[in-house]
Amino acid sequence: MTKYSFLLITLVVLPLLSRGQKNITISGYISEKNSGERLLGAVIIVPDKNIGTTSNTYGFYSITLPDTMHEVTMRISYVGYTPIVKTFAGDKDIHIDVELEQTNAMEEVVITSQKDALQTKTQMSSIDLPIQTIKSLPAFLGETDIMKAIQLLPGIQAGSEGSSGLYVRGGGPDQNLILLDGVPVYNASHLFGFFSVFNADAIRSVEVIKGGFPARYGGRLSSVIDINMKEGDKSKLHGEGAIGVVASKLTLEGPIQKGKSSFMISGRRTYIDILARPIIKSEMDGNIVGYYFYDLNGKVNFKLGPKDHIYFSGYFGNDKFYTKEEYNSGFSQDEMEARLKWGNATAVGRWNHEFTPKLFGNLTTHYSRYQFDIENEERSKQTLNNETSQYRIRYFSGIEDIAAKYDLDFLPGPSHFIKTGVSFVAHTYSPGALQTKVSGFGLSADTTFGSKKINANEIDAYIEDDIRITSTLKTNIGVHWTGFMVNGDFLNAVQPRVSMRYLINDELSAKASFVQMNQFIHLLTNSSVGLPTDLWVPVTNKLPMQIAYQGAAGLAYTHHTGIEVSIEGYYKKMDNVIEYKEGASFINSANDWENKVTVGTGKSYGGELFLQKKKGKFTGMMGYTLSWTKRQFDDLNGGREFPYRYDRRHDFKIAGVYAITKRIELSADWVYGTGNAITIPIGLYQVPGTGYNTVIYGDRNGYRMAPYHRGDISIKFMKQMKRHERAWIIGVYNVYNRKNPFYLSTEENLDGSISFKQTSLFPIIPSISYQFKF
Amino acid sequence: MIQAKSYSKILLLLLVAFSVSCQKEVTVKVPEIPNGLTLFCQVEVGEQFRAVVGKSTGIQQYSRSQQQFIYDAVVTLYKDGALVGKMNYEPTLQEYLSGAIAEPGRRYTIKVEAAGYEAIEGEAVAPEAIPLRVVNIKDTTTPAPYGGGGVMPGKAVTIALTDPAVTNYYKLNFFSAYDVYYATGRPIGYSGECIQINDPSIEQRFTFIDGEDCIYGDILFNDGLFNGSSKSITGIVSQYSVEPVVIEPGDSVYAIFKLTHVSEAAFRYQKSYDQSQEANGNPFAEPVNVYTNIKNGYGIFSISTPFTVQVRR
Repeated sequence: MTKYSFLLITLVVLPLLSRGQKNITISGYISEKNSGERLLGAVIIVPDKNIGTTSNTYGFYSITLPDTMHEVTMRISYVGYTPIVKTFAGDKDIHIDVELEQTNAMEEVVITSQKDALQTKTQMSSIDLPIQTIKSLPAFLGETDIMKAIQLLPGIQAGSEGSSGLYVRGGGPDQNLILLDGVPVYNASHLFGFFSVFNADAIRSVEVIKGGFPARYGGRLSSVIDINMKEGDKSKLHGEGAIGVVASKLTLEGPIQKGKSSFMISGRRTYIDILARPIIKSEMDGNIVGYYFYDLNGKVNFKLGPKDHIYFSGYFGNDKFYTKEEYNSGFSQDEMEARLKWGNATAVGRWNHEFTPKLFGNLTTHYSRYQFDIENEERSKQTLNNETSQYRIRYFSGIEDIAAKYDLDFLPGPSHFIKTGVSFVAHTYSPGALQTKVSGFGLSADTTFGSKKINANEIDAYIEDDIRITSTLKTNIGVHWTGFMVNGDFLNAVQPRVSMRYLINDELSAKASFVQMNQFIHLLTNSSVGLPTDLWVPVTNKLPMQIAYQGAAGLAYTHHTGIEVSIEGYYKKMDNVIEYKEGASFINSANDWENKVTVGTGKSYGGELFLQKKKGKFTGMMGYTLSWTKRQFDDLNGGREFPYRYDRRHDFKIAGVYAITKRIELSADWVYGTGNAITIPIGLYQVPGTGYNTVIYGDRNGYRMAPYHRGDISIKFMKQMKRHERAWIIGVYNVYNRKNPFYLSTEENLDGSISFKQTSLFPIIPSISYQFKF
Repeated sequence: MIQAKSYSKILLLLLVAFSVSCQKEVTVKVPEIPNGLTLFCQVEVGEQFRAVVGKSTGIQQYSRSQQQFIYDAVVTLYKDGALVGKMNYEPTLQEYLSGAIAEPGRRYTIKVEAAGYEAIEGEAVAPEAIPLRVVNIKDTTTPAPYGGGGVMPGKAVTIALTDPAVTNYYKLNFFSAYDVYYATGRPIGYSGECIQINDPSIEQRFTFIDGEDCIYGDILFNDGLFNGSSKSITGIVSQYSVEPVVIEPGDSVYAIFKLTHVSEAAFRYQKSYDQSQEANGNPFAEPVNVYTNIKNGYGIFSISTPFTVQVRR
C-alpha cells in the first residue's frame, strides 16, 4: 500500500496547500451557437497566465486564476468552430457561458495559437475523431461506420475482412471498453461484425484512448472508445437521413421547450429481407427466409435551472434472422419456424449539478443488456383427425448490468483539476440456457437446462488530478480501485495511473505514461470472427482477472497549418489472458466453458506515427504502426511463445477528404497490413482403422497469410434545395478488387494431392446512397 | 411472377460469380517435413502385442494413391530392456504380431526400422488393475432421447474405485448386457450405451446442444480431484439399457462396466485425437496436434489394464 501513498499525498495535500492563495474562478458552459448543444473538450486558455482547461462531457468548465490581474483575456476554441476571445475584469468570481459558431469547412485554417493543440494535453495515446470526418470517409456498402473509421487509427487493427472488431495494441476484442453515453455496450456488431451498432447520424463525438488511461476509466485492458450521442437542437427542428443500398435511416432533433430542453431520435433499418422477399418466396415455394437489423437511439435533456441539467438517453438494437417453411405431406400440414435474434439495449439517466463554480457533480444510473436468442419451433396438424403437436427449442444467453455512479469535477486552484467518483454495478451473466417445450401425442413438457445465472457485484472508485507543476510541466496522476464479488469470493485491485507532459516549445511536447488496468470479465469468442454467440463470463477460480501494465512515451507536435503529428512507443504486458485450448471450438461454448479455455500471458510493443488534419479543404489522417504481439500459454504450442493472430508487423493507413468545390467532395482511403498469423497443416498420417488422415500442424500462428491491402473511394455531390440539402454519394469498396485472405483451407485434388485454397470475402463493391438534411 | 423469376436468375448468377471470385488456389510455402514412420500399438494386459506401422508425409508431398502403411518394416519388441523378438507381419490382419503377452508392471519397448526412414521407438509400462465395484442401483428418470423435453424411466447406477496415491488416468465404458451377450456375441462388445454423468472429474468428450449430455463409448477421466482416495461415480442410464439377460436360472446380468487403467500417454493421445476429430472441417476451431509418445515419429504405444464388473441382481 505504501507504493500508493505518494499518489494520495499528491492528490489530497497539494490542492489544500493551494487554498491559501486568494484566487478568482471563471466558470460556465460552452455550447454550439445554433443548436445550443454542449461541447465537450473545448479548450479555455488564459494566455497571459499560460493557464488552461477543457470543458467536461457536459460542456462545463472552470478555471481559477490568482487574483493579480486587473483584466483577464480568455480564449475559447474547439476544432471546427471559430475561436472566441473574451475580456473581463479579473477582480471576482464570474460565470461566463460561451457559444461557438461552426466555421466554414472550405476555409483553410491557419493556427494562430498553439496553446490549445494536441501537444498541450497531458493525455497521450488518445485521438478525437471528428464525426464529420467519419461521415465523409468511404463507407462499406455506403453505410457510415464509426468502428471502421476507428480501425484507420494506428495501433488499432481490424480483425478479419469486413469485421468491425478492434484489436488495440495487441489486445483482444474483449479488452475494449465501448461506452455509449457512458454505458458499456457489450456487443458492438451487427451482421457478424460487418457493421457496427453505432448510427453515425445520432453520434456527437468519438474519443479513442489506447494508453495512458486516466483513472476515471476502468474495467478493460486495452482501450476506451467513448462515444456520445447528440443532445438535440435546442432552437429549431432539424432532420437528416439517408437511403442506401443496405439500410435507410432518419434522425430528428429539436427543442421541446426552446432554449431549455431538446430531443433527438434516430432510427436505422436494413431492408434486404423486404426487397428479396418476393424472389425468395417464388424460388422457395412460398417459404420465407430473411435477415435484418435495426437501431433506435433517443435522447432528451432538460435544463432545470442555471445549475442543474438532466439527460435521458437510450439505445435499442437487434439483429434478426428468420426462416419459415410450410409443407403438406398429405398426412399432415407442417410448419417450421426458426428465429435468431441478438442485440443490445441501454438506458441512462444523468443529473448534472453545479455545486459551486469549482465543483461540478454528475449522478448517472444506467442499464445495459446484451442478449442472444435462438428459437426453433415445429408445428404439425394431422389431416385425418386434426390432432396438433408442437415442438419448440430455445437457447439463450446474455449479460445484464444495472449501475449507479457519482462523479465530481473539482477545480480547487489554477494548478489542479481533480476528478473523482464511485460506482456500483450489478452484473447478471447468463452463460447459456436451453429450453424445450413439447405438446401433442399425449406428451406435454416444458423444461429448461443450464439456466443458472451468475450474479456479480462490482464497486469502483477513482481519483485523479491533472496537475500543472510548472508552465511547461503537467502531470495527471490517479488511482482506480475495483472490488468484484462473485460466487462468494471478493477480489480487488488498485490500479495506479500516471501521465506526464513536458512542453518543449509552443509546438512540441514530450509525453510519457504508465498505467495498470484490471479486467474482471472474459469474452469467450472466436479469434477470427465476431459472432453473436460470443459469451461474456465473469472471473472464476480457473479464469482469474486479467491485468495489463502499459508504459508509453512519445512526442506531440502541431504544425502552424493545423497538421497534428504524434509519435509514440509503447510496451504492454498482459497477465491472465485467455485462449481456446487446442481443438476447442467457439460453437456451444456455454457447456463446460471453463475447461475449454486456457490462461496465459501476452505482450505487445511497438511504435506508432499519426498525422491528422482536422480542418480545411483537405482533411484526413495517416497512421503507421510497427509492432510485435505475442502470447504464451503452458497448454498451447508446447508452452513456447507464439505470435498473436493479429500480430501485424507493419500497418499503414491513409484516409483523406477533399472538398473540390462547395458542392463536390472526394474521399479515399488505403490500408495495408502484414498478413494475419495462422496455424497451417504441414503433414498427414493415417490412424489405422479410421480411413481418415490425421493432420500434423506447424507452430501455432507460424504462417503468415498474404498481406491485406485495400483502397476505397467515394464522391459526394451536394446541393442546397429549396427546403433541404441533399447529397448523392457514390462509393466503391475495394476499388482494385484485391482478393484479401479471409482464411486458408486445404482441399484434396482429383489426383489425390492436397492444395491450399484461400477464401476471400469481398471483391469490388460499388454503392450509392442518397442523403438529405433539413 | 415471371419478372421475379428473371430477377432470381440474376441473383443466382451474381451469387455464383461472387462465390467463384472469392476462392482461389494459393501457393503456400509450407515448412518441409521429411517422410517419417508411425507406430500404433494399443494393447491390454493379457493380450498379445499387435502393431501397425505407417508413414507420415509432408502435406505437399501427399497423394491419396500412395500407400499409407508399411509392410516390410523391422519391428522389434523388448521387455525390460531385453530382446523379446521380432514382430512378424500378418498380411490378413495387416498388423505386426508378437507371441508375447503384455504383463502388468513390465516396461516394453518397440523399435521400428524401415528402409528410407529414420528409426522410431515407443515405450510403455502396463499399469496395475484398479478394481471397480457397483455400489447401488436406484430407480430414477432420464430425459428422453432426441430432445423433446420428455422424461422416461431410468436407473441411477453408482460405481466406486479406490485410487492409488499417484497420478492415474482412467477410461470407463458402460455396456448393456444385451449388447454384450446377444448383439456382439462376446463378453465385451464395442458398442456403448448412453450414460449421463454429472461429475466434475469426467471430461465431456463431445458436447451437444440437446441437453442430453449423453456419453457414449469411452469416458475419460483422471484423479486430479480425488488423488489417493475413494471415488464414487453415479451415472443415469435408460431403463432399456439395463434390461436383464439371464445367464443361468436365478442369475441375470443387467449391465457391464469396464474400468481401464491407462497411461498418461494413452489418455493424452485419446483426448487430443477426439479434439482433432471435433475440430476437423471447422475453419474456426483452433487446430490441434494429436499427442504422440513415439520418438522421431507419430502414433501411440500404450498398454492398459482393464477391470470388468457385471451389474447383477
